Amino acid sequence: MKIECIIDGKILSLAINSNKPLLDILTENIDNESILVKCRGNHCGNCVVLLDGEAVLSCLVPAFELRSKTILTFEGFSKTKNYRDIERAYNSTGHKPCQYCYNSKTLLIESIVNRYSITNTLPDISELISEMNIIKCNCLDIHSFKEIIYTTISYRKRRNVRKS
Amino acid sequence: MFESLSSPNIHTPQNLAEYANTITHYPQSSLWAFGSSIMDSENFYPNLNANVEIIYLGLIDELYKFQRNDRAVEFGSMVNLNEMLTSGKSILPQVLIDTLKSIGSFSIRNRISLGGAIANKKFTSALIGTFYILDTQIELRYLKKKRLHNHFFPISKLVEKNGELILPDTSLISRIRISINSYNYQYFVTVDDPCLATSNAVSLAFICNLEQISTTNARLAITYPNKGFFSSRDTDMLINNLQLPIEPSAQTEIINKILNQIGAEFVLNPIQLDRTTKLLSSLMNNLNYTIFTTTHE
Repeated sequence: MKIECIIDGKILSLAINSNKPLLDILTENIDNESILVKCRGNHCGNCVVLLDGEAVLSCLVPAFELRSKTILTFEGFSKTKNYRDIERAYNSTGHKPCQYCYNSKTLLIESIVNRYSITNTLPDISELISEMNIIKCNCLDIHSFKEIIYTTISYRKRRNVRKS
Repeated sequence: MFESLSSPNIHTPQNLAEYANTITHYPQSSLWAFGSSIMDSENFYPNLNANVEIIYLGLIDELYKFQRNDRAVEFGSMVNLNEMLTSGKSILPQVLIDTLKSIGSFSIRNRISLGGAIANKKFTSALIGTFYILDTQIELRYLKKKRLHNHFFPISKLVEKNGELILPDTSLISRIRISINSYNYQYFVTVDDPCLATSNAVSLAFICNLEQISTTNARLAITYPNKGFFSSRDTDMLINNLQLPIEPSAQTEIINKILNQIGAEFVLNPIQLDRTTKLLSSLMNNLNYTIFTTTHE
């Protein structure tokens, strides 16, 4: 099956099996090194990517759903200004995910921040707990996670105000 | 690595007429909404015996529609749970909103379609129990004599005695009609994640009208993801016309009677049994608390 999609800003045309999971496409066909695991749908949460700006588990997205979609992996995201906001929030709060889940948690934070930086609201703790449960790594507690997100949102808003 | 394997044929109908055409030619195809529960099965990829025909429903516009009138709200089956929450926030019954919020996180709900949550064969979603007590109707499109027919069925007609949902083969859930009845007491509580801990999770949905100090039109559903859901008229009779507050001895008696009725239909494991007892007890305490706060206002 031939599929055209945008991965990390590059327009790609891939000839792959129609039911191949996005995770396998990224690791085998594109040699993306930012995804470290292959849990094969066991919900470990370490394969998060942004599909049209929303965090998804790449092991649960089949190839045929990728037609004309935009995929952003940590490899591409780490070169953006939005990543700098999150990195600054890690440094200023003093909390940082472990090496194992760093990429996935950063992308998850980006999708939450994206959702809330448009509106003038902040996510509540119950929503953050359920969001955090996607990734099965306990390196960050919920209060540190919340602190990182709130700080990133404030940085993002400040940057957007300056831009406008 | 497995590129030499033959891959399934993907049909992407753009509307229901095209879907009808495809399903008449390939009646054995798998219907694909977001596919999360299909993809996390162990041998989905690579698999030599994979179903060779898949109909992807994501491009059918009719399945994304949302309509409302004075009596009911209708959602297309491809509406995801987040869209349902945002568009139905002010109309949907609180018990349904709580049920929707209890399913996964925002990112997970984005990848769960309403139809997929109902038709999932791996586990019974808490949504089915809630839909049951709200008298929800499901529109099915099914093949009969090589033609596609559609009909609204009350959800009670589609469930077996053990709470398992039965959908005819080659049928497609196209719309869900939720009636807007006003119940002044709605309660939903769930323990554990139904998707990940299917054998231990339990959820309870309850609606009734509180008239002075008694309950009327009470309906209760308890969902066990690995078994089905429990709801019966006998149980509803037990909790109907209850005089509030319920004394502790009466509480124990009612809970034991409900547990006996559940035991007649399901074999529960000790964790589920314990959780059911506690959920029922918390429901009764909440009823007592509500009546206490309303009478002392």
